[in-house]
Parts: sequence; structure tokens; C-alpha cells
Amino acid sequence: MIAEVSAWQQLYASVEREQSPHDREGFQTLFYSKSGLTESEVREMEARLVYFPSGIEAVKHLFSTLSTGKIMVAQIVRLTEPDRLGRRGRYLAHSLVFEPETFKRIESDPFLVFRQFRFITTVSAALGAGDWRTGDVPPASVEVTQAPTYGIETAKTWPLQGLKDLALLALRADRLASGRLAVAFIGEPTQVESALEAAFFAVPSAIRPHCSFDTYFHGCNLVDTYYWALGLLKSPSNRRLITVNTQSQRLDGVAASQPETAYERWAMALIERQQLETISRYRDHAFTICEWLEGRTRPDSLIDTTPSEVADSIFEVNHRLVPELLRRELEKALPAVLTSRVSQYLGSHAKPTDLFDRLREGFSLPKLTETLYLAYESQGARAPRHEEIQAIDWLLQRVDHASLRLLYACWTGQRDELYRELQLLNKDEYYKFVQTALRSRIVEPWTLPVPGRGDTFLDLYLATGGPGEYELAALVRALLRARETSCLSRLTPYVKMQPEQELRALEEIVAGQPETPGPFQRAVGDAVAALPPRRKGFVSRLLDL
Amino acid sequence: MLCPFCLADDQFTLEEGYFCPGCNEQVPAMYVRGYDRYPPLVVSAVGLRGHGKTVYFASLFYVLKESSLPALWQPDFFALSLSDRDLETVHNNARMLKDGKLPGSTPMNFPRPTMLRVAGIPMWQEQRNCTLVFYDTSGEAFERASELVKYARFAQKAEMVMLLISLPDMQDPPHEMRTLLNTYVIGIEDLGGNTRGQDLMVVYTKADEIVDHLSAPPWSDARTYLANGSVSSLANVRGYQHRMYEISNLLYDFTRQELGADEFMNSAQMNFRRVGFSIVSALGSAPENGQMPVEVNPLRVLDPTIWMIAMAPSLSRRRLQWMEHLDWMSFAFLGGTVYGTVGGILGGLMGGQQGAEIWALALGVFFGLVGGFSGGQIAKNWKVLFKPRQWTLAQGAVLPGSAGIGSVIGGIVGFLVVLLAKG
Repeated sequence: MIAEVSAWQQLYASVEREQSPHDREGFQTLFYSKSGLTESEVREMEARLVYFPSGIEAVKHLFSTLSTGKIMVAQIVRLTEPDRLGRRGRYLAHSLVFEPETFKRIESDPFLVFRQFRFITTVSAALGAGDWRTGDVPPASVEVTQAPTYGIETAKTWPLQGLKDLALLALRADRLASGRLAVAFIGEPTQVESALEAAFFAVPSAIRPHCSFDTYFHGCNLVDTYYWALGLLKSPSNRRLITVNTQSQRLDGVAASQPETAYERWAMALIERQQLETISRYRDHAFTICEWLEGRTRPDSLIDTTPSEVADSIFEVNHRLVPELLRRELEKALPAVLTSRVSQYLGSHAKPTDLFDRLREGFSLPKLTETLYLAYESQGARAPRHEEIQAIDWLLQRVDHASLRLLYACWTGQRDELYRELQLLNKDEYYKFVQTALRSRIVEPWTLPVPGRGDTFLDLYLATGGPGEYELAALVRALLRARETSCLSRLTPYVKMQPEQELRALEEIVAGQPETPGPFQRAVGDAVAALPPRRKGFVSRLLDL
Repeated sequence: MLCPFCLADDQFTLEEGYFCPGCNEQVPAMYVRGYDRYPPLVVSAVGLRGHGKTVYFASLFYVLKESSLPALWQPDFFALSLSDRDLETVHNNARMLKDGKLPGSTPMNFPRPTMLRVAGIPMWQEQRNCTLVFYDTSGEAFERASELVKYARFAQKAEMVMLLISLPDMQDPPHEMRTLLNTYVIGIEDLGGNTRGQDLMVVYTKADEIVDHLSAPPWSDARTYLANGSVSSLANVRGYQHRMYEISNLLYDFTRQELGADEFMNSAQMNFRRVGFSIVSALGSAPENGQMPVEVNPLRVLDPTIWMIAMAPSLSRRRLQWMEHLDWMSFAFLGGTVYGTVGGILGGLMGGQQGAEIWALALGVFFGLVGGFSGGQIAKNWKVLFKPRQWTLAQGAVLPGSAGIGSVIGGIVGFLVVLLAKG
């Protein structure tokens, strides 16, 4: 794939007065793209364009982010001609400056630029590139060919442990910078650049701008110009610098570090399995998901295009983070007291990839309400704590969910509300709810019959063992209130088992309801007749109560 | 302590080496451990591009490491690099000059310092030892105050700034000198510093190329001075300093009368604590195409450094601190003597002819002690009133010592007086 992006330019060199567009001698910016760079940005860049000669003919490559966020990619070459005083040490720097968004289009990969862009290397070419009158130089068109395989070959030249160490150092560039710690890559500039490319391999585009480097830091001062990585010809005296030996391909004197973030764990696992191509193709996708898992970013379009096997590989090494993400996402929609119940339910009833899909799609309140109901149902619809019941009230004001509304009425003892709601259910819904209610005994059975559902109720009720002591009279009253008189005959077999007090109550009910089925009336009459005679007097009546 | 890398005043942390908490740089252990005995002196060379800053430093390293100074300044003089990097820098520079090569141009950057411990210079005791901390950046850094702030902020920490002027490289010396000085003053003010707390040493570099200007009286003395300016002339440092100051006065006149740089001079005198002049030739002759046609022969390159060490307030203050104790010690001693004498006379009178010697000694010593303590105490209180400071244990011990010596002398004087009276 070929990408063409635009970059502003700056040309900096030590020249004689007659070569200078500004009529002065010495180190100076000859031209810069005035359409995109400010003078203060140019001054900031100049501070980084430092080159001290050594015994080798080094070409220096620089990668840095300016304080304004723009990305600087530069090359410095030594000029062999001495100055008018006969002094050596002249050099020419050609810098390209990208907008961060533009640079992302080439995967924030400076090595693509170093490898494919033709930097200016002579003073004459530099002087011919700009406008002497204005000091301006037009932006450059940078055309690079991208391929997922770039970087893999370099990475493969490193042993697995070395590659993991490099990747971790690069992934932690931001943290190192905050402590002003740097990584010294020991070797010649070409070796350093190769090692840096290997270090960049597992680094997603979003982090790459933090990994500033100078492939040939010889003689320069870290106090003034900080870089994440410095190319040095020999080991530094500062023991706080982390040292990477590019020849032995290992860190010197530093114990191997463990991955700490979700992305680090993923990258380390894939390097270990040598799945370098997956890293190369999906590091940005994986990084987005990992950042989201750890609550640092919102999901974006990359998440939608992440193959499920990549998502699986992320969840596999970060399984502990999924419930936390779930909880965080749920907290955005639900009161906190309900969040843990739903997340526990989802955590134990959904596969990680299903969860990922649900998280990716986002949670709607109606869906969450259904999940909450299922969570209560799965736990026997037992009444939760008072705060949770209050939160359900909040939820039901926003979402209509009949079954949860019924549960809420049961838990709060609102019988009239329950009766009204039960009447609104269709047969299946009624059946399902009553079954749950009877099984969990969250409400007295006689609160459940409603018109048109007498038989359904009795099917379920009788299946649970029929009326216990002191239940039949209340049940009969409930069925009569629901005008389900005809089903009373199904209770006839239970009449004779009732205690005296219950039978007397039934006698009174039947007496007041002549439409009661005949068999039931007769069963009540027979059972009452079989009772011993009632005691007389006030005291006896009191005892009968 | 001054961090030589980030220039912050900080306490270094010790963990497998000394580290500056501000910049995380590892500070040489020799620098930290020798901080009191070899206090740092920032050597700040200010000058335009091509005026010889880098070559001057290289020549200075060459003289300190390669010349016969240790033989001249026997038995104590030595110059030690403080780290591997310093050793390499000094060695490479010295070797480069020895091989007839010149250092390359210096890029615009905030430089890492090169540190050199110099000990045993035959000057005042407190000026014998110090750590010279050299910073070298490009001349472009002094073209604009904003660049100076960025690349040469070390200059703010210098007690004496060396303004290197190469007259052969100037089209209009009064104008260019004035502009350079102006840029420097603005830069230091922008850094929050104050040039009035600094000495200014105007160093005329590449002097071998301006000797023709110095051929006629009264400037010919400077020419002679330069010609005789090899290292061997440093055998007698005190005499050397005297001559150096004479030449400074001559160059002052030269700057005003010959160069016509009056505004530069007025500005320098108004904006700096003291202004001195010196003339140096880092190589002894002009190079050709970046190479020395003859052997390098540095002339008077140590002058600015000797001047800086002699004038540095941080070193002189140490001498003055010692001198400051003389007043109360004198009071104690004089008090002891006077009172001891009085005591001795009183003792003689009280004892009459009988045992006068014993009385004279006893009372003389007693009164001498009282007098010595009183005198010392008065001086001490007087000092504390005008210059509050904590007294150290050592200073406290010297007080009774001075009083005691004074009292014994007083007692002896009293005794002699009695003997005289008897006689």
C-alpha cells in the first residue's frame, strides 16, 4: 500500500555568510516551511539538531515530538568541507515535520521515512530548495510504501527475550520520560537504528510519538534535549541510563521486567508465541481494546473491525480485566447497587467473547433491565436489600418491564398493584411469573389469582402440593374475587383435610356465594357436619377463635 | 551544591553513585566529595563565532596537562579530571593541539561541562585549590539573548565571565563589542541573574595576529608581555599577578584610546563589579587551513584563569572568613596582656617584698584571664550585632586559648615589673 503525505521542511546547516539567505555565517536555519512551522517551533528544532563528529562517518537520524505536538523526523549528515576558519565539524540537517494525524497515516513509523524519503545531503541542494528572498521552503510530499511485513524481519533478528525487553522499554517510553530516564543503545548508528526498529515493532501508533530517539547522541547533552533512546558509541558513565547492547542484543545489567498493562501482556504473549505478523497487523486494534479494557479510552471504530481471534487472544491474557470493564460500563447506565448484580450474572452466564460483543455494542437500559430480572430470577427472586429495591423503583420509572414490576410489587407488599399488573400479563407471562412466585414463596399464593387465569394458577399451585393449613379459605376468597368460581371444584378434595377453623370460614364463604360449584358446597357442608358440636357460651367462642 | 549539569543548587542522592535529583545525571564522586576543599568555579567563555573559545579552552587544557607547570609550582600543583569523560576531553584536546590540529566548530547546544580539579596553585592558601568547570558552546549562542538563555545559561553561575574578543575577526570592534556585551547583559537579566555581581574579563584572543597594532608605544609593553608569556614566566605567581594587573590597565587604555570602544567600556564598568583585561594567544601563531604550521606555543592563556581564581569572591570569602577572626582573637590577647600586667603589678603591691613573685604571677594570670575573656566576648558580641552568625566549637576554643596566652604574658610582665620595682 502506498501512502502519500505532506510534511513541512526545515533545512539547517553551518554556512558562510555568502551562502546564507540571512546574510550571516555559522549554524542557522536556512529555510523552513512558513506555511506550517512557527519561529518558536524552528528554534525548538534547532536545539535538537546537534552533531559532534567522531571517528566514524555517522548519519544521524532523529525522531521527536515538538512541544506543539507536531512530529519531527530529521537526518543530519556531516559536511566534509571546513569553514572559512579552517574548522571541521560542519553539518547539514534536513527535518520533516508532520501533523500528528498525518503521521498516523504512515503508522507513525519514522523508519518508513528514513528508508524511503530522499533527504537533502549537500549544502548546494539545500540552498537550491528554498526561496532566498523569503526564507521559505515548500512542504515536501512524502510517499512511502507500507506493508505489514515491515519491521518483522528486523524484529526476527532479535532473540525473543531481547525483543520482549525492547518492546517493554518502548511501551513505557512515557513513564521513562516522566522520570527523565532514557535508554542508551550502544553501537554504531546503523546498529542502533536497527535495534530501535525492532523496539518499535510491537509499539502501537498511539505510543510511537513518545519514543523519541537520536541514533547518534555522541557528545550531546541529555539535560537539555531529552530523548527516550540515545544511540551511543560506548557505554555511558551514568548508571541510571538503561543500556541495550546492540551487538549482544540484550539489556546490560537490568533484570527482565514483567508486563504490567493489558497491551504489554498481549504483546509479550504473542512475541513468546512468535505470532509477529498478528502483532504487526493488529497492534493498533489490540492497543485500543486494551486501553478500553483498562478504562483509559472509549471504544472506536478499530474495535468494531477487530477479528474475534485477536479479541480472544487479548481476553485470554487479560481475563481479570473483563469484569472490571463490565462493571465500569454498567455503572454508566445503572445505579451502582444494581451494577454488581448484573455484572455477576453476566460474568457467570456469558462467554468472554460474547461479553466483548455485548460491551462493544453497548448496553441499552431495556436490555439491562431484562438482564437484571433474569439475575433475580436465577437467584430465586429473593427480595434484595432495601437500597436495591429503591434503585429498581428508579429503574422502573425509566423502563417498562412487566415481570420486574411484579417482583417489585411483591417485594414491597403492594398487593393491589400486583393484582393489577397480573391482570395485564398474557397467559405465558402469567404462568412464568406465578411459577417463580410460588416456587420462591416471595408472596402469599392467594395474592396471585386474577380473572381468566384461575385454572392456570391452580395448575401451578396444586403442582406445588396444594393448600397448606389455613390457606384454603383465603385462596377461595381470592378465586371468588377473580370471578374464577368454576375452578373451586378442583379444590374439593382438599376441603376435608382442613382444620375446624378453616372449615367454619369456608362455610361462611359458601353461604355468601350461592354460585359456588355444588360439589365444593357439598364437600364443605359434609366436612362441617362431621365436626363436633360448637361449644356454647362466650368463653367457648373465645376459645374457638 | 551546584549541579554542574543542570546548574541547580541541590543535594545529590547517593545510590551506586551521586545523582542530581533535578536532572538525573550522575555527578562525579570526586566533584561531590571534594566540593568544600575544591569548590567549583564556573569558567564561562562568551564570544562570537570564530573568536577562539573552543581553541582557548583546548589550549588551557594543553597548558594545564602538558606544560611544565607542575615543575614550576612544586611541590603541590596538579590538575585532575573528575570523570572518564573529562579525562577524555582534556586528553583529546591536549593531544590535538600537540599534533598541530585544531578542534572543530562547536554546534549550538547547551554543553556538558568539562571538570578539572586544580590544586596547589602558589597563591593564598584558600585560592590554591578549586574545581574549574568549563562550558563551551557555539558563538551563535551569543548572537541573540534568547539563544544565550537557551544555550549558555551556565554564564549566570560564573563569578567572572570571560569575554573573548578576536580583533582580527571584527569589522567594527567598538560596535561589535558593544553589541556582544549588550546581548550578554540582556541574556543574564532574562535568566534572572545580575551582571553587577560578576567580574568581566575582556580577553583579546589571537593576540599573535594583532601584535602589529601593539608595536608602537605605549602599547608595545603589551607586545613584550605577550612575547615573554610562555609558561615559564609563571614561576613567581605573586610577581606575575602584579604584572598581569599592569597589563590589564594598559589594555584598558588600549580599548578606550586605540579601539575607541568607550561606550563598551562605560557599559562594562556600569554593569559589572570589576572589569579586567588580558591578552592571549592560544596557539602562539596563526593556523593555516585548520592545521598548525609550527608547534603550538600558548602565550598568557593562564592569565584569565589566574585572574578568576584570584578575584573569585567564593574563594576570597574563605580567606576573609579566617581574617575576620583576627579581631576578636586580638581583643582577647590584648585584654589578657593588659589585665595580666595590671594583675601582676597589683600582685606585687599586695605581696610587698614578701612573696611578690608568687602574688604577681597568680594575680596576673587571674586578671589576664578575666581581661582576655572580656575582650574576646566584647569583640564577639560586637561581631554578632553587626554580622549575625553562629559560632563554631573551634572558634569557641580559640577564645579561651587567646585569653590564656594573653593572661600568661600579662602575668610574666607583672612579675617582671615587680622584679624591676624590687631591684
